[in-house]
Amino acid sequence: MSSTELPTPEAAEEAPHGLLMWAALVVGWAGIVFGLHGLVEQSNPPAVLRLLIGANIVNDAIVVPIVLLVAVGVRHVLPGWLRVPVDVGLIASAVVTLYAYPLVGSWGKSPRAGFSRLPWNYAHGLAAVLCAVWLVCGVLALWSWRRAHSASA
Amino acid sequence: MEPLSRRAKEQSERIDARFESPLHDEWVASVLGITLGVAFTVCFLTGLVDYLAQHPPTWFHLPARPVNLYRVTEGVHVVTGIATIPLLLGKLWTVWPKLFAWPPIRNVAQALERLSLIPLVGGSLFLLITGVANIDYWYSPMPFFFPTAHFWTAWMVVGALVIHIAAKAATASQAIARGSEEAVDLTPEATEPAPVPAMARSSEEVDLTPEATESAPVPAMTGATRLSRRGFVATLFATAGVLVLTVAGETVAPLQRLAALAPRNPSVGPAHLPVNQSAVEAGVTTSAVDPAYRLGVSGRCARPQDFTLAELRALPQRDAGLPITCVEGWSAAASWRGVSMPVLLRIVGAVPGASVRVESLEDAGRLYSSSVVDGAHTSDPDTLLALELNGAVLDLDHGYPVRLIAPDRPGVLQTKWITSVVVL
Repeated sequence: MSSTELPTPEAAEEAPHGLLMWAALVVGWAGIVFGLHGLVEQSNPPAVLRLLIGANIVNDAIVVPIVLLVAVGVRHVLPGWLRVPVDVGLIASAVVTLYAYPLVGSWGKSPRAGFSRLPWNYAHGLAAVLCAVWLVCGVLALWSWRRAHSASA
Repeated sequence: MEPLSRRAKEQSERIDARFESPLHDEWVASVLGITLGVAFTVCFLTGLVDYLAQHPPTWFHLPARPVNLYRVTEGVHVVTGIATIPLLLGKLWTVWPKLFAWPPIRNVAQALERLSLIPLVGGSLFLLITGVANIDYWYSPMPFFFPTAHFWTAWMVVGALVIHIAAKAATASQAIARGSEEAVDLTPEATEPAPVPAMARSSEEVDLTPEATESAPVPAMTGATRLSRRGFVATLFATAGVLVLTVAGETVAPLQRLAALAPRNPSVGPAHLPVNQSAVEAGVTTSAVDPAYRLGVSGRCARPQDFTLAELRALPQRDAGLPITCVEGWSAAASWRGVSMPVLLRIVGAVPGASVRVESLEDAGRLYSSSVVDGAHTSDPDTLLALELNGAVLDLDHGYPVRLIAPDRPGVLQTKWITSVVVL
C-alpha cells in the first residue's frame, strides 16, 4: 500500500496506517485536545468526563448486553413469523421510550416557569405513539403470518 | 506492514464467529456510519452558528436577514440531533463485537485511532443525552453550564470523527459497494419459515448461554424469521422518522398536531406564545408594573433621555412579524408592535447603526439580564422595543412593559423587561 493512501478495501483487515491516516490523526487529535482544553477552561471537567465516560461504559456494559439478551429471547421464544414484527416493535419502542423518559417524568416542569413549559400529558403522548408503532407491527405480523402459512400450504 | 499472525487471525475469527447475527455487519455499520457522519456534521455546523449567535465573539455577527435564518439553524440542529438517537444506538450495537477485536492494538496509529473512540462514542452519547435533557429543561444530570459543555464536547467528537472516517473509509466504501444482497433475498424458497429448533419450542427449554445462543446453527434464510440488514436499517430510520414527526411540530408549524412528544407547543402560552423564563422566575413581578417605570436611553448619544411608557407609546410605532426562537429548539412566529430601534437611535441623536446594550429589570448578576445588539440589528427597522404582542399589550411573562425583539437572535438575547438602552 502506498504510504499516501488510506487503507485499500483489500487491506481492510490491516491496522490503519499511511500518511493520510497520520494526517487525520494529527487533525483529529488536535480537535479532541482543543475541545478538552475548552472543557477544562470553561466547564466542569470532572462532571463532564464522568458523564462522557460513564455513557460509554453504560452503553457497552449494560445496554448492548441487555439488547443482545432480549434479541436472543425473541429468537428462541417466538415463532419465526412473529420475530421480525416484534423485533421492529421492540427497537422502535425502546428508542422512543428512552427519548420520552424525561418528558414522562416531567422533571423539567416547574410551576414558576408557567404553563407553556412541557404543556402535554407526555405519558398519554408516549402511549399513543407506542400504540401507533405496535399497530404497524401488528399489520406486519399479520402479513408475515399469512406469508408463512401460504408458503407452507 | 506485518500481516496478522495465523494465531491472532484464528483468535479474531473465533471472536467474530460468536457474533453470527447478520446485523453485526460492515454494510449496516457503513450505512449507519455515513448517515451519522452527515448528521453530526450538520449538527456541528448549525450548532456552531447557534453557539456563536448566543455567545458572540467580537468577530462574529449573525446577519439580520433572512429573518428565519436562526430559526432554521436551531430547528435543524435540534431535530437532526433527535433523529440521530436511534441511528447512533443502532450503530453502537452493530459494532459492539469490535470491542473484542484481537489483537486489540497492532500499531501506534491504530492505538491512537482506538483511543479516539472514547471521545467519539462517549462524546456522541454525551451530546445526545445533554441535548435531550436541555430541551426538556431537565438540568439535574448536568452539573455544568450546558452550552459550553455541549460546544466543547462537540469539538472533541468532530476531531474523533475525522480520525474514524480516515480509518474506516476504505472498509465502508467496500461494504457499500458490496451492498446488502444477503438481506433482500425474498424468493419463496428464501422466505419459507425455517423449522424451529427443538430447544426453542418452549421457553423452559431455552438455553441462553452465549455458547448456545451465539454459535447455534443459522438457517440459510434470514428474510422472514430474522430481521434482515436492510430491515434493521429501515427500522432505525423509521424510528428516527417517528421521533422527528412527534417532536418537530414545536418549530415546524404544519407538524404541530403530531407533536405529542415535543417539549413545547408553539401556540400554548400567554398570548398564544410560549414563555421560556417567567416574570416570577426573573423576580420582576413588582418592578415591571411599577408606575414609576422609565426607559432610560444613554451612552454615546447627543440627547440621552428617559421615556415613560406613555411617551414610548406616543412615538411612531412599527409592526413586524418575527419568529421568536429559543435555544432549546422551539420557535413560533408572532406579530409584534413597538418602537423601531433606528427611530429610537435617531431620536436620541445616536449614530445610525451604533451597537447598544439593552438591560433588564432583572438583577444585573443574572445570566442574560442584558445583551448587546450589534449594528446590523440596530439598523434593521424590524428590530423593535416591543410594547404589544399579537394585538395586545405585552403580557408580564413576555416582557411587559418593554422587550427587545429582533430578527435572527436567540431567544435568550431577546431581552425582556427592558429598563435601559446604552448606546455603545
